[in-house]
Amino acid sequence: MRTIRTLLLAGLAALTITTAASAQGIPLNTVKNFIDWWNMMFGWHESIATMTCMNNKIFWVTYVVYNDGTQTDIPVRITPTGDPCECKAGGSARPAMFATTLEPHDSEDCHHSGNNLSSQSTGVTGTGGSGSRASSLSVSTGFLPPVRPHGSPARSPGALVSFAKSPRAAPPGSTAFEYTLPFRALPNGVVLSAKIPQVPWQCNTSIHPSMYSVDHTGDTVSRIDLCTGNALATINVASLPLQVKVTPDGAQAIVTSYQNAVTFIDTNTNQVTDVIQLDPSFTPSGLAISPDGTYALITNYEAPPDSFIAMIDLTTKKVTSNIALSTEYPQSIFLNPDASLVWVVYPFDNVVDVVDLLTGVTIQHLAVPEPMYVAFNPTGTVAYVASGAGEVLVLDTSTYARITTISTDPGTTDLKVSPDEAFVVGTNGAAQSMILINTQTLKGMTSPVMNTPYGAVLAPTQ
Amino acid sequence: MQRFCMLAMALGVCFPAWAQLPSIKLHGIVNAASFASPGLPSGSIARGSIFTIFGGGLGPAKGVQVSAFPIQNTLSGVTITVTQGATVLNALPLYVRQDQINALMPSGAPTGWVSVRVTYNNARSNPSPVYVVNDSVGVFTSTGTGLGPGAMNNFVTQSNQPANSLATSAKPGQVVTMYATGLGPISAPDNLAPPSGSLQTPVELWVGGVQASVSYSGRSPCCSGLDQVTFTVPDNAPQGCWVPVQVRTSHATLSNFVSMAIDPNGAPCSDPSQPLSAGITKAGHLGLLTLARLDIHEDVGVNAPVDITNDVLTFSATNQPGGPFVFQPFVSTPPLGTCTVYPAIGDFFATANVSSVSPPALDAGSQFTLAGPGGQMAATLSGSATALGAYLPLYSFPNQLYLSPGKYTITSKGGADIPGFNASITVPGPLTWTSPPNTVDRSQPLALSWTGAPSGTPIMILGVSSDLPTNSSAMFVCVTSAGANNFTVPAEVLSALPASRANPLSSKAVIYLMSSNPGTFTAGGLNTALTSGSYIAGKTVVFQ
Repeated sequence: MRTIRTLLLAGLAALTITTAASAQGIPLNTVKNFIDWWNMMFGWHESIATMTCMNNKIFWVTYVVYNDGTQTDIPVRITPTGDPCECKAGGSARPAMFATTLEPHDSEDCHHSGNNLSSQSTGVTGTGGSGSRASSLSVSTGFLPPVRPHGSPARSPGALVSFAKSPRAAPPGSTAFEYTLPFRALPNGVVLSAKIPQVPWQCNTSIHPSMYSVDHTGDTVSRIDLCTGNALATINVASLPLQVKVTPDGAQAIVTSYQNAVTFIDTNTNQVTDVIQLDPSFTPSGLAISPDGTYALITNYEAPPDSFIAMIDLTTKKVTSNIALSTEYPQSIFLNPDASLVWVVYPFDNVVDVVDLLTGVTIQHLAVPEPMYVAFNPTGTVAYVASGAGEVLVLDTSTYARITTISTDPGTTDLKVSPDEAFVVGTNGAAQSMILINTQTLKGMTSPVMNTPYGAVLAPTQ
Repeated sequence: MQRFCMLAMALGVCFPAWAQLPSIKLHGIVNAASFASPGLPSGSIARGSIFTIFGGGLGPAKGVQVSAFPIQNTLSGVTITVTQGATVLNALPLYVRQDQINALMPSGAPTGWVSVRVTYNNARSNPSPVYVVNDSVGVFTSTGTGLGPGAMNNFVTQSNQPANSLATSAKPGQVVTMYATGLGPISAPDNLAPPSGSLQTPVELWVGGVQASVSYSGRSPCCSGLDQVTFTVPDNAPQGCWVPVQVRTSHATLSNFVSMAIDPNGAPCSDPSQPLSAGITKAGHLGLLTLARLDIHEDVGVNAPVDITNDVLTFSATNQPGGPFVFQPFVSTPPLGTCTVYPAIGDFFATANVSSVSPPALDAGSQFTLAGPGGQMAATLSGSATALGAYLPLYSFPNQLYLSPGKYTITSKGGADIPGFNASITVPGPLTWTSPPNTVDRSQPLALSWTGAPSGTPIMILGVSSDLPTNSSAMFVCVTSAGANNFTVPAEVLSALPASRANPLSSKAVIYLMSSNPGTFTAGGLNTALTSGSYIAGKTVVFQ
């Protein structure tokens, strides 16, 4: 690997930073329940990061959102710690980017420090409910206007971070990024034989991260303070909310509701500002927001010909066009980093479709057992696809060839790639576990966790 | 499938339908001369230009070149369509092979986003988005990479126009013809031999940072899509083996930066100020030994600034092929006082390389012993480099830096090709920004100044910008005059870099200053053996 540092050194040959021994896996959790229809539709909580982190040097904290299926969201902090393994192997250690310890375990060379799980109850309570569906469709259709999938002189800068501003009044002109901690390593930091310190978990009060989490059956979305675990607000939204995401500028949260609506929430006030009431046959499910914040893509969770992607203009809050899909029940949707392609997952058809947004043409049908979630590395060259069947597929996005398959508990979803691409984390509510994938070794470490985690967010420590 | 095909072949048939379906790679459509990544300012495709499609199953296994006018829409079973809404045009295939197509974007192609698809033997590829503009020039190079010596002819007489090369330099005042593609559309049919005549597209051209007079900028009558730009080497152009040359069209879009050789007498070029130059222009064994301290100040997108310091030892020994068109980025540096730009597909801060052909490496061993102000240290190279120490002032990391300014003695145990040797290197003191840049307006010259440079030596300045969503990067490389304590990076250099995005997680951008104490050493098996003690000061910036 040739890095900028090498380039700086007058074109000398590659400078390779050897990765020290990676954390070793531990026995998989024995709970291997698949997420079933009921669970997905009526027990599924989607959580979205309100803040991602720029600190690729050292430490992250992973918040896991718990859903016990009946009433409670519990953010749990998984505190990354220094990993003694990283300090060995001949002094070629690097900062412990993959040092999160989920469970105590011993090995010949490594002695992890212990379980760092903790949990707090938020007191957020949901109540049951169910929806009914009609069958007609009256959403406007039309030719998909060209979007700007690539960087170009004409393209306005975009932003990928989903975040929400602190409920506190932000100073004028502030953005999410002033809250970030040390930048990605430029160039990579090299720490020789240094003992990576144990860093106690510490909430980054300067960022004051928070997140939105849906209560599907309670018809609410909660704003949760990640430092305290307390609900900052509980917002009534259209019936049977499924997914929530925050626009790149942090100004609003968008919620899909199975019962024919899309809700917009002002993140400064946590009040609903707009509701797009859709035709009864339009059952919004998957949600993706363009990096420049100009449009959102919503999947209609139906069978063809009602299976499609709707594009919503976020300025006018109108559906401007549809992209027809040929497979039934598009559950979730994921834009690649340059927003040229969208990946749609169909868990019940074991298919992932890759759709060209310029033409609306499905360019790839990928056979993936029970695909649940897709995440990309920052450059979009690698896709991580969580399969409900117990795999994370690592795909080359140029050829769609499978780079490798990482075994995990069935039901893993909600993958998050760290901005420095050092690791990928996923949660598994069915198996009550998490997986951490070292992107350098492409090895996964699955660890049991408490209760039923659905979703994770990454936030920087102090 | 292979077994099936073999069986079918035994029966006398093997249908192409079994072959790989045509597939265009992500970001796989680029200017055929520059190969500029679509995420770069020069990465759009001009109407009437030759572009390249990379992928798989795009055509026959063995390349087929178009051979006669009029050029047909289909070549060896390959057809290319360009679509925007209801408008569908054919791009003209010029060369087709299973992994690469060169084609002509129709002069009548609509500007803006279009979708390009390849059909090979009735099998259609995925659509691939391409941003079409009126003009965006790529200059062809002798290396075939879009970097290094440009495809140029020195005009002597009508019948004597040798290729510009390290052996055949151009003289100031000499007329030179440069070959490129992307000057813009023509009104004549694209599938016929193009008419000569300058196009309306405004063209500017710089040689070593000096604007040159352009006397012709239009199609070459030989070939569809091939442009030529005829210019006069400015009288005050710098001399050297790799003098940067770049074109700008419509006062907006820069080409790739190529190089040309200039000598006052048209003799083989020389770079008297560049000690590495002689080491690669002639065939032979070249050794480079470097001690460097990198101090990176990170203050973009952070709560509080942080300074990360790394000490590094590098050593490379290579068998240089030499030759009239040799080029190695960072060794083939531009003349003093000038700048060039290197683009790449990928992230320069991660895995992307500047495109080049690496010369064969020599075995010089990996064991070194250093002695200096900080005492003795043993170092083992990993590849050709190793870290000597680091300081990351976070989380109580200890300071383990080694390369304090001063004189160091390096002893190598040697290897199979290069026996052991001793060398001495003086690591310079820190460079200090006088006025550190923060937000850089790429449309304006960037004035930089510093203190602490070793006397009598130039400073190398690098500005690097990576655009992650489009997986593209570019960097400028400038070399100051000897002893300079300031430099102004021209806007026509800065504008070749991608702008930073609003979200710092989507971009990386740093400007570096690098000082160097050059020296030599003697080692068996090396024709040229050079040392350098360097201090590199980097700072994160935002390129607007």
